[in-house]
Amino acid sequence: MRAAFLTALCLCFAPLAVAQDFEMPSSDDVQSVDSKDISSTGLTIYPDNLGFVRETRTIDLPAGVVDLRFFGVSDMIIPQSAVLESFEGLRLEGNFDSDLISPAKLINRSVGETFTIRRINPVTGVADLVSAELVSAAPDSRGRISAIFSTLEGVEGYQCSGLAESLILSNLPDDLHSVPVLSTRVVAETAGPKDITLTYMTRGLSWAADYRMDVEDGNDEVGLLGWLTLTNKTSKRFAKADLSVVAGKLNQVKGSFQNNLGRTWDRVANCVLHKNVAGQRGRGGFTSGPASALFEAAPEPVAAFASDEIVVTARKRAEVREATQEDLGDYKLYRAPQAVTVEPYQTKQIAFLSKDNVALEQADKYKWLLSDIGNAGRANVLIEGRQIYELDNSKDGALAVPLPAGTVRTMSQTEGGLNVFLGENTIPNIAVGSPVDIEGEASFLVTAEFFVVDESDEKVKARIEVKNATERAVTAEFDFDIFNDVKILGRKTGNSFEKGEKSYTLTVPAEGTVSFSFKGEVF
Amino acid sequence: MSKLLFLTVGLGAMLFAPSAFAADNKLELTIYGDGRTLVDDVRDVTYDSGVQSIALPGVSSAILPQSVTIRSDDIEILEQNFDFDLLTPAKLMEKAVGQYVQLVRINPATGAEERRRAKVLSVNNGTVIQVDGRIEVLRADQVPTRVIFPEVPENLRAEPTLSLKLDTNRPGTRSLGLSYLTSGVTWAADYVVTFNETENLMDIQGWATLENLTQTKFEDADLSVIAGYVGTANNRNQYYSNNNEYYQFYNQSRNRRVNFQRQNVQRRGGTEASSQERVGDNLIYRLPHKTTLAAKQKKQIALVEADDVTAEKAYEFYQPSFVSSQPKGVESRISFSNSRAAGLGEALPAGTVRVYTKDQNGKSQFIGEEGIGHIAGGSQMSLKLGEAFDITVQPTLVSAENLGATRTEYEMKFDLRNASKKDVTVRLHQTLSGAQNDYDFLSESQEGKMQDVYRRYWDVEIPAEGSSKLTFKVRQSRR
Repeated sequence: MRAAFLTALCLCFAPLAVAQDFEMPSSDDVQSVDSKDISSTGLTIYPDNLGFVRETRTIDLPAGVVDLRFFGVSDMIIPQSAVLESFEGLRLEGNFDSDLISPAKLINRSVGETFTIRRINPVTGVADLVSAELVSAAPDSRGRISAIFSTLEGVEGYQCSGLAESLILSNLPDDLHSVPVLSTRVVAETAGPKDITLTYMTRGLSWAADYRMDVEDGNDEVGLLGWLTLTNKTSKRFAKADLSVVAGKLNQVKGSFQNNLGRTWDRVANCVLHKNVAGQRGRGGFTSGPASALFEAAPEPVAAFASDEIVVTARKRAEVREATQEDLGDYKLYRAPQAVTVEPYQTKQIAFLSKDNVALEQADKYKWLLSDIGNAGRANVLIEGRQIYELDNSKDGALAVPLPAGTVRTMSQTEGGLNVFLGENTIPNIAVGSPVDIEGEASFLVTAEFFVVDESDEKVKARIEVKNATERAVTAEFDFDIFNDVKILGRKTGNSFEKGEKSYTLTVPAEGTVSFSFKGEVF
Repeated sequence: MSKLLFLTVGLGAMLFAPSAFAADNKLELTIYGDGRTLVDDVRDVTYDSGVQSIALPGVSSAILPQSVTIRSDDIEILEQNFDFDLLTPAKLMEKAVGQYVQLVRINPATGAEERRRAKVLSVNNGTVIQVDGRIEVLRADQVPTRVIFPEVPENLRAEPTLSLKLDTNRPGTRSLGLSYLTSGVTWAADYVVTFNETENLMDIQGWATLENLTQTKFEDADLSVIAGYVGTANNRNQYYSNNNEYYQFYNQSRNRRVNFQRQNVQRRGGTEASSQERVGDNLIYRLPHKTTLAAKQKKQIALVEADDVTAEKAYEFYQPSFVSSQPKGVESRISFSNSRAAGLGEALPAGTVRVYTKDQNGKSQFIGEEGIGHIAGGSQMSLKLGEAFDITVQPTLVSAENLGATRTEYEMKFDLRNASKKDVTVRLHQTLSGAQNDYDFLSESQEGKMQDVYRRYWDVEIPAEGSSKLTFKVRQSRR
């Protein structure tokens, strides 16, 4: 198979068979090309703070050495993951300058520039504008920037006086951008417009599944709706993206060479000339006041919260087009049915599942773990049952789909048609054919009391009284997880446990009580 | 106060041998992946006659000052100083002790400016000044006060500078070579692996990602990166150097490097020599042309590239002890060799391997990443990509029976399920506390093998859309 990644952002070491029969051009010959428009976007979102972005841009390249600058990549890009796909022309080097404007960087890059200092008189409110030169902007031992400027009067520290002081620059340093920029140097063999596909990974994108399960008393079928809920915490707008999400656990290297460039020296130091004076440091700077209006090209505004994009997890209101699912290696990939625009800081939902008749193993079933009772001290204790929904997800069943990890919200409808929320629970990734146990909340209406009759040498003989304070019959299941050699006493079904299957099930009538005794040995 | 002063004691004879030292100006960086970089900087210097000071600006801000060596003909070094007394407001005030500054105070009632001449008496957690014959603490009254200094002190520098005090009787312009270690310039490999599972092949491209965290721009430099381990006596050095920036970046890089050692990587050593240049037991990768490494920049350089390398998918499951748990996806791994026979034939420097595969539309998608250490040629490795969604193992402790104080019999059952459309084999490992106990496998549903005293494994086949069971009974005897 031929490399999919024909080209990555690089320069090349000598002994390798990567073409390099060119004269290294002097930097005078380098042309600069800015790419600001993205013609198509692919976006794949992984569960835990990871996205994979594919951007195709049509770029009119001159022949020769070009500094190619991709404007508007994600602000949380993992730069070393960037790869150029299908770009014919010789690659050179990848420089990841993804510097965004910040007060500290603005100062740091403006040393030697002339600017205006504006001071506000705290009493009269009169602004005093003075022309000054930035003499120095140096980091202290903790990497914070502090500045020194000189005026006709002499030399002063920036924001040391306790006055409201701002620096006003007339233009931006060349290498600072209001949108994140990834730059690379390439050699194009021929001039002309080319489709260049840039792929990279980014933090700030996550997704999880949200399910709504509709249950009904006495009904051994439930309705299940599934939504892929994705969040974008980057400042990037992914316009008309081919969107997919991947379900599964991917290995990620912790802290692998993080993008820490942006974070170094990105803070302005508090001027500490007068340490013992609290709370009187100068305010101002670039972020407040009309000074910032002098900078052109403010960051792209965050789109207004688009309420029609947020679908409240609810019973299907109308026809919903569902995402399609395919296998991706050992994971599941869900593809949005149409192009989707993901706005900055947006949460979005896309349906992927809608089944009305998912079979339950048993309607109205409650469950107790004997280890819960054990943990409660094994003295006469009353333990609330938990309603449990064991969905049939076998490959021949009505559901028969992989269930990506997420939150299940259980809903029920009263006779009067009132929708009632019964609780929520999380599920892990569940494959077809694997058990699906969705636990409800503890019920104070269906309870079990536990009486130890005899105990010696970890051998326990006990009686359990199960009580049902509802008007319908329920199924009670007891899981003897912490016992060996369990025997249910005085019942014909008692000793029929398969090895390792240590649960005992009985029916409790409406407003009824059922007792049984067992003996077993604690592990 | 914070001027760094370093005297290279006893090195003079070695460094300034009378042999003619002639070289073109150059800047060479040899970058070790552990956070250290050797800088070799040759530049022209114009000497006067006699004892003099020479400033060499533009050295790395994260220099390790005690590592500096100087080469130049017919000079004798008296002192080597590293000045990194950067211009900050606090420094400005410290340097003004004993001198006069102008104060501009804003009257809090009227807003009127009052100007006073003041003498700075002391700077020590606050500034003590003398105004109109009275002693006061600057801004103790919280009244906004500007402090205007007459000028920038001469010995505060805008960039890190190495200065030499030297003696020569041969004035004129000639070459001076300067070499030192710096931190803050580091590298690691980034690999792009495109895996074709149906054909058991992968394409691999490796890049060296260079990172310059320092404030220094290395212009038109020759760059080399080193794969290998280079000794360090760093902890001891820390006590007698005070270029904080060196240690700040060094420790950062080192902490990051630790991640590569905590791997989900199974690995067998290799025996194939690399075609790369070797220095000691390190491999060196040189960039063929000069490049500029700007401050706070990342750069990538091609390292290795191979198509159609043999690679396989492997599934593993590790059971920690004899306990029950919920079904859990098995580890999905990619297993390959960097041997010549497999089609790669190159050493792999430490870094991150990112694995991609094609989706049904033929587009690349990311399927997991893993960190690797330096890998010699001909090694075999298996990297964890993630957990398989469709292939799960559910362990159940069926029974545990105490037979006296030192012996216990455990019966385990594993339900292995496969919802995918292919038959798979899962290697299931049961961890044993082999250091304290003997294990006697009384029965098992299929024969396992002891990997070593700590682990027994079974290769369990699971049919497509089917399930399998593995059971065993084991007697554990405490020694």
